[in-house]
Amino acid sequence: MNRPVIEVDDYMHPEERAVTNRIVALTQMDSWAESGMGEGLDDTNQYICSASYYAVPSRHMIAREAEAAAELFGLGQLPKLYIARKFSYDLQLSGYHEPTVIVPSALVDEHDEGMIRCRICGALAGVKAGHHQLEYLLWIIENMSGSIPIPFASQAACTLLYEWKRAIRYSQDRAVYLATGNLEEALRNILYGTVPQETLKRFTFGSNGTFDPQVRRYSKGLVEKTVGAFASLMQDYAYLPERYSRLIQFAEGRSGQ
Amino acid sequence: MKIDFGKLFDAEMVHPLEYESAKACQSVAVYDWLAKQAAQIKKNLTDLPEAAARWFPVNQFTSPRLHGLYMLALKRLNCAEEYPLFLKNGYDLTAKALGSRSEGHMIVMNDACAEELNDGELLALLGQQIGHIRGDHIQQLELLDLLESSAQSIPMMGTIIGKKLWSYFADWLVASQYTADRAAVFAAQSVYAVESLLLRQIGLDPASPEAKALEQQPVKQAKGKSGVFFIKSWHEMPAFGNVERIQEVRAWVRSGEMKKDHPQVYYQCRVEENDPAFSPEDESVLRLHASAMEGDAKAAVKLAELYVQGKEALPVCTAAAACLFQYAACQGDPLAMRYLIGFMQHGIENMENDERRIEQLFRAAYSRKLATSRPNPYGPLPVNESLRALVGNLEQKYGVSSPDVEDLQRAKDAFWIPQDDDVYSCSVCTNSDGWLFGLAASSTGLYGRTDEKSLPFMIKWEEFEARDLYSRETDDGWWIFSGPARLIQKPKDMHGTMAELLILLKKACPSS
Repeated sequence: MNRPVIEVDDYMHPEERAVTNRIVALTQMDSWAESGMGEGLDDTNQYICSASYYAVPSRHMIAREAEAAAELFGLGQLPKLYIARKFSYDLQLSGYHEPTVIVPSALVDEHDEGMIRCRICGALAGVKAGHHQLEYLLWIIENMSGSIPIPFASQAACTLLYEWKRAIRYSQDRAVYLATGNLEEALRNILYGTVPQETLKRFTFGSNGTFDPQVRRYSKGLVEKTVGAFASLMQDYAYLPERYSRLIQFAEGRSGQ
Repeated sequence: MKIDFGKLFDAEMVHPLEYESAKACQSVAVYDWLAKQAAQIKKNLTDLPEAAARWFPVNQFTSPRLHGLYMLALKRLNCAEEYPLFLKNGYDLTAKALGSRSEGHMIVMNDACAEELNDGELLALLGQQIGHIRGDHIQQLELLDLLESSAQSIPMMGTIIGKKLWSYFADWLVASQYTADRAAVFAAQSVYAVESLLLRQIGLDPASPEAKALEQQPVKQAKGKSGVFFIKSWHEMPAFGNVERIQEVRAWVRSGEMKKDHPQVYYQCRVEENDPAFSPEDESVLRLHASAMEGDAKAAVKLAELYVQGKEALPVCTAAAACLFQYAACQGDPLAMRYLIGFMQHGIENMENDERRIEQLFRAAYSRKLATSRPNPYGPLPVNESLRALVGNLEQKYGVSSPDVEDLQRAKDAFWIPQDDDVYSCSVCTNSDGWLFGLAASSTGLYGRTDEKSLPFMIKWEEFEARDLYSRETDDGWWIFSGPARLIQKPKDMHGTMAELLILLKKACPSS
């Protein structure tokens, strides 16, 4: 029996929805897309990716995983997939009308099928939700911000962008959980590539005595919260305990339904 | 031993696209003025004095392997200047050439390269950077950097100006990489090494099937390269355009132009990549190249003869023939030695008509049973009777063991020593291409080779007796000389070395 398609509404975090609405209202981004700028960006993006990265053929394991994920999220067309050497284990989305997913070679070389599946699901859920388009447009704003002659305007714009970038992480974490149906795997995905493999192997996700004390400590302390809130103005990093606890909360909410 | 690829001239190195795109850039009225201003500003902001304090310098003491490879790359690209080389902390498998024409250049390499790349890939990477310097790309890159940072500070318009600027230079940036890759082929003397480096930078294993598939990967050309996006890519992507570069360098080594100007490179690269043959003639030529590359001196001579005559689909190419004859002669092939004599006597490929070297080659060839009806024009040489006893004494004194038979034969072949000579002592080293250098003392004289740029030499004992023996500092450190001839590097501790043997021999000379 076929699984029902996972809709964007199923996994979009309320925070993402709120921030996206704010950004669109503020910048009128949706009207930019109509101007034909998207085609120009796609054109260059396709050139850069095809001239610089290895295009994943349909027989490749990554392509097969992507096909399965695309079916789960009801993506009519598979985005273009490339493999590249990257320091991070995170997949990168780009393109406007023609989305591309760039898979780091380090992730492929690890041969951890569970994690490859999680990361691909997260990326394709992002494509379905249009994260690649916003990332593109936001990148332009980020670059243009240096030329804005209004004091603190660029800092304010960047803060908004960072908030959005954090919020899409929470949405993608939810999508991974929904796609795999495995909370432990989805939690491991959050820490994968950040926590050393050796340490990660010793975790028992979602139970006391593992990552939970750190999560609790993070959420309880006023000083930590203040420092975290202040630091989040300067960077787009979504704190691991934050992502971890939000996903558990989401999973608990769903099991309670 | 690796067969020398020959010289790559600047005109051959520059990719045609670079000529066109550079011309387009320079056609802008203010270009010359901007370039001058940028050079002036950069002159005062040069990184060179700071570099030594910030990064790890590579030299023969700090990193002998990397330094040795760097020297080899410089030599193969015929580069007389040794630009300072530094290592810095970095994950990407890249290096960067910096500096200016007036203040000199330097190369900074990420330390991941030294750890993860093999010798061929490192030579390719260094070759790319030397290519950028030789191709005078650094001026333009520095100008771009300066213009970009200046443009960024213009309120409102900065980004737009920057966008136009980078899109204007986009074609040149891509083409300059192609030029650098061509230099890398000659520095690594292998197209496989260059491809392998570019593949590793993308994150692919060069041995994987994916690597092979890249040759066929379609590259979608952008209509107008968007400047804003280009800045992002150029700065953030260490492997920018690598797929296109692999396809371009593969096409270049297989081009008709390469087959005509550097046929040996063309065939060697095809052998290296296991390319299929087009015809039975092509197959036989490919097979000969493969055998020669594996060290078959007879195949090298056969091939060189074909290059001289321009037979079996090969063009007439005396440069390739000279490289192959030298390669075979240094493996002791008498026919190759005889051909080299001919090249020297007729000044082919700028070979010096040196009477002494011709005599040395004649003796070496005849003693190796050169099949000819003509008698050897040179008679036997007098033998130094005291040498055997002296070497015996030294061995006893320092417990130095005699070189084994195989090493002795290799030295005899590499230094063109007559086969029937007794070699009593030798001090040799091998470079990364397998060529032998050093000095050997035989019954008829001293034979050796000092570096890649020179051919083997000979000093008869009577000449040794008549000349002064002394040490002198040169660009390469301290050397021991006999008259005008450089013999061997002077070691710090001379005990039990060839240098001490030379001094003792000199003392034993009746004239001393």
